[in-house]
Amino acid sequence: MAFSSSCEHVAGLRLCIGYLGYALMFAGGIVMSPLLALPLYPQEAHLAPLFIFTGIGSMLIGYLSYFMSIRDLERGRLSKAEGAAVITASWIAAIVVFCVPCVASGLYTVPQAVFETTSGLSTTGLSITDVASCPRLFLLYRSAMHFFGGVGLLLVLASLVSDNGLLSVYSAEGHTDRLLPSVTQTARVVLLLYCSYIVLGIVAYAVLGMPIFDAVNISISAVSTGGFAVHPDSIAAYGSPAIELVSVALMLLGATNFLAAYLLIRGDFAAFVHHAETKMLCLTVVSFTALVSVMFISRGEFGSAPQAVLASLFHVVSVLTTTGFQTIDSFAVLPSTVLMLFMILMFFGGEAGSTSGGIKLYRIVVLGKTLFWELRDRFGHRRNVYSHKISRFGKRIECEEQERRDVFSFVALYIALFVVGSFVFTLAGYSLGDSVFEFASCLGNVGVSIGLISADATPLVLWTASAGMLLGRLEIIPVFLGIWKLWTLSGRALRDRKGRVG
Amino acid sequence: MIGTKVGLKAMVEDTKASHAAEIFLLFVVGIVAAFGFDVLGLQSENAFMIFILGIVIAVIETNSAVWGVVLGIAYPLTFDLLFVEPRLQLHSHDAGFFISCGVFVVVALMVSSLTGRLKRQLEIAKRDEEALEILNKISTGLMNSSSAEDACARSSRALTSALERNTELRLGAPDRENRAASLCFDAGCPTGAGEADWSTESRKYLPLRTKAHTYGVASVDCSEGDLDDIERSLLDSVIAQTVIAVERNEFDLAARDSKISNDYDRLKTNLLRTVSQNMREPLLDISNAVRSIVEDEANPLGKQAADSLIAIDDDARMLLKTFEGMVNIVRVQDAGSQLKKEPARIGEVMNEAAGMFAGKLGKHDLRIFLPDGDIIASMHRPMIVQVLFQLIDNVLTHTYPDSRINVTAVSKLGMLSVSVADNGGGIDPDQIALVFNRFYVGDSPVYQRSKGMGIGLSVCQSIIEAHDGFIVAENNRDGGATITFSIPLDDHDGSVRARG
Repeated sequence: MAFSSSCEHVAGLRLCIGYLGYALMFAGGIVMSPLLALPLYPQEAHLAPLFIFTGIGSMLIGYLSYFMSIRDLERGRLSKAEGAAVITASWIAAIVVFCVPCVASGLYTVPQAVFETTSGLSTTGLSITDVASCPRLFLLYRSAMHFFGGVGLLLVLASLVSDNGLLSVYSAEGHTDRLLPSVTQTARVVLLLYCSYIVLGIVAYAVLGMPIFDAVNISISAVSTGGFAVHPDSIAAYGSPAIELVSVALMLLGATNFLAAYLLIRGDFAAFVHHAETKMLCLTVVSFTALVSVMFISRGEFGSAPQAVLASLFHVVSVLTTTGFQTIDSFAVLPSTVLMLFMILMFFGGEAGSTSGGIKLYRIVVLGKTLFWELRDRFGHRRNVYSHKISRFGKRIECEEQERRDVFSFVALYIALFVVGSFVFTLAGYSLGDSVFEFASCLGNVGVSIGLISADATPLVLWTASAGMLLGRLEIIPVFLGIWKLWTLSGRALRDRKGRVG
Repeated sequence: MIGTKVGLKAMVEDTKASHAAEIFLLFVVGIVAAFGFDVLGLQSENAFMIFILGIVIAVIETNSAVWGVVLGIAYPLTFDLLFVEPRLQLHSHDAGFFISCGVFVVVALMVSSLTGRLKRQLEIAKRDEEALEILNKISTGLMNSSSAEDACARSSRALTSALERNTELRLGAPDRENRAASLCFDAGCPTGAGEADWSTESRKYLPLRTKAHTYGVASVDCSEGDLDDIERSLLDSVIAQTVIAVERNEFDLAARDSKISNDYDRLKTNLLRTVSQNMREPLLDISNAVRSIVEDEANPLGKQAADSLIAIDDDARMLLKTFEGMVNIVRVQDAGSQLKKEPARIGEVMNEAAGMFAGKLGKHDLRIFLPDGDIIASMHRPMIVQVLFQLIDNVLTHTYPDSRINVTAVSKLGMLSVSVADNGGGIDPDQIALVFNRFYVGDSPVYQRSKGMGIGLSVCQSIIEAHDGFIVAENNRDGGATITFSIPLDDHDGSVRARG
């Protein structure tokens, strides 16, 4: 057909609503995913309508939004702020949708449901659920939230739907690295790696004697660095060092940059080894495991040194990767020095471009190197010219001034939010130490708890924790940017509507 | 034709395997919804609402009624199998099953038809909007065109881009070797691809024409298929706009030329006015002074001196006549349609003019033939006397010394025609069309004896034309020339007013 199209494109709020429709349809499908296991657990069939009608309702609302906004119309490009708005709205909408079966089941109140679903989607792993009595469908439901939240809702959607708009939102969800030239191909490769890890984990767990149901849930939880367990004792319930070691491996896989892993699988071992975050991850795990081991051994916490070392390794990896598995009853019994070390690890987090939370090791590397460069530039020989490069994916890449400023800005914002959230916890009557530890766990999407957050926690604590988990998962700035953009777009739409009606 | 493909072919043409996943998902959701209703203990038939929704969505998303029909059969079939007691058995004998299937199929077909039409209408509207936008851009470009060729070039480029076909608009007659293009130009009708009897042509030719004139030919490459309705409509609109732009550019060019010509005439006229006004008085003084010297009986001059002074006087009078003629030209041009005309008898006018030559005819034979009865016409009397005087004076100046001059007046067909005929040497037939041109002086040996500036007949023409008349010159049977001027007899009914 001739004529090059130069017609007006759908843009602004309408475009964002259209893409939100995609997310709602997708969320509706996820809500219904636990039903796949219903044939195995027919005794829980009475719970099926909760998932069915929530899912169908979400899909219908999503389809209507998409149909009335952007279907069959030329779509404009999403700006960065609009992309952030879509991400934020999609995640909040997904949380609301996922809450519905929880609230409708009577197992949770609204703040509890919001907390649980936010914890699941953000792969924090903090839970107020009594897993011992929780229906299997709901345990699977939580794992489904981990699965999609871990790798990214929009990433999964982008890999299924080739839409330029979704691809522009892909970056806003925190996926800044590109494995392949095409964003769709990159998303699919990441998803493939992710699913492969999970399948490997299921097989490994099953071989070690874990029940299949547990293996599926724990493997998803480990690779997504979520931390939801199916037993009150978490991994300790299995009493198997081998399972703990497998868990460590899966957690490390989940916390490794997918691009770096892809390079390793393709045989570029040198690129993987020299990658700055790989070295930082190894160094951190080794050094902190050693430190914690010494403390555990000196306190006689565990029966033998190997057990102490294993426990140290397990918990160091669990906290660093922001998974939140534990083999001890409660972190509350740990000495302050160990808790301090764990807090540092919670701030560090895993590698960028992985499923883990925290500030991310890449930013820690940039922070450390920037400090070193500053000292070197200030006190080094004046006539020397120094480079500011970081090894990434087999290349020495210049760390630009802007990038360093971005890292510092993020860290400053992270710390500011940490302070605010901790303060709110203290308002609820908790001690400073408990408040900072617990909120650091929320903000870093870690999931370890010293007992502050429970089913009895006040709504203020639960809402604050939920906000912290969401901000941490979406890396803070897109959330504020997204909310601001939604506000301005809505205001503009209202003014336009008043203008037309007037 | 766009917008009319609503048939079985359209329903099946969008059936692709890629839609299978969407249909499967809709099917599963529908059945799961039925299961949900069943678990809740509600009437499972509530799921039929979900089924209808699923069918509608399937048709909308796949643009195919086939998938809607498939779901329309799969839904009730599966529902019957899974949720109707006894379960896992088909109840094909139940009329309700067939009714449900029938309703679903009808819904699928209706929705498919509606969505298909709507989609096509949307496509047409979209293309219309695109065409309008393109047309608007082309129109703006044509308004800024600097010449007819520029207008055609702009349109060619725009159409080539919009239609994604090579399109050329060319002015002038095409190469005769291109039969289709030549016929299009000559006959002013479309030829070439898509037209009857031109099946072998790969290009379509359309005339660039108005009702009165064909400016050129537009050619469009149709090697990959003829133009559709919207493309043809766009092409016709652009051609019409281009023709308007071509005409406008040509009018602008003519107006520029006309303005230059008018400016030139105006400058020349102003010069004439200034020069004649400034020259008249000195010449009059010279003529009067010379006359008074020649006619001074108290101081008679020698013959040679007298002849010289008479020659000076003649030259001065000739110059005076010339400048008066120039003044008359200016006066006539300035007066234009405001010339003050009053009824006058042509006989009296003729006698007045003839009386001016008393004692000056020499051997010439001047005869005035008055008409029978009075002929009265509205005229500026002094100017018509001036015309007659000029015509008679021309004969005296440009013919043999003993030529005969006949001045005749007749009325015919509402016009008063006055002729001044002589039997002199006549006018060179090659130059007869030029005699009324301003400053024209003939190159015949007869005319070389005169010392005129060649504006006399031009002045006469200006005066007669100011009277809404005309003047012609022709050679007559007597070997001389006849100059006839005609003016309307009456402004209202053209009738002759005679008395007698």
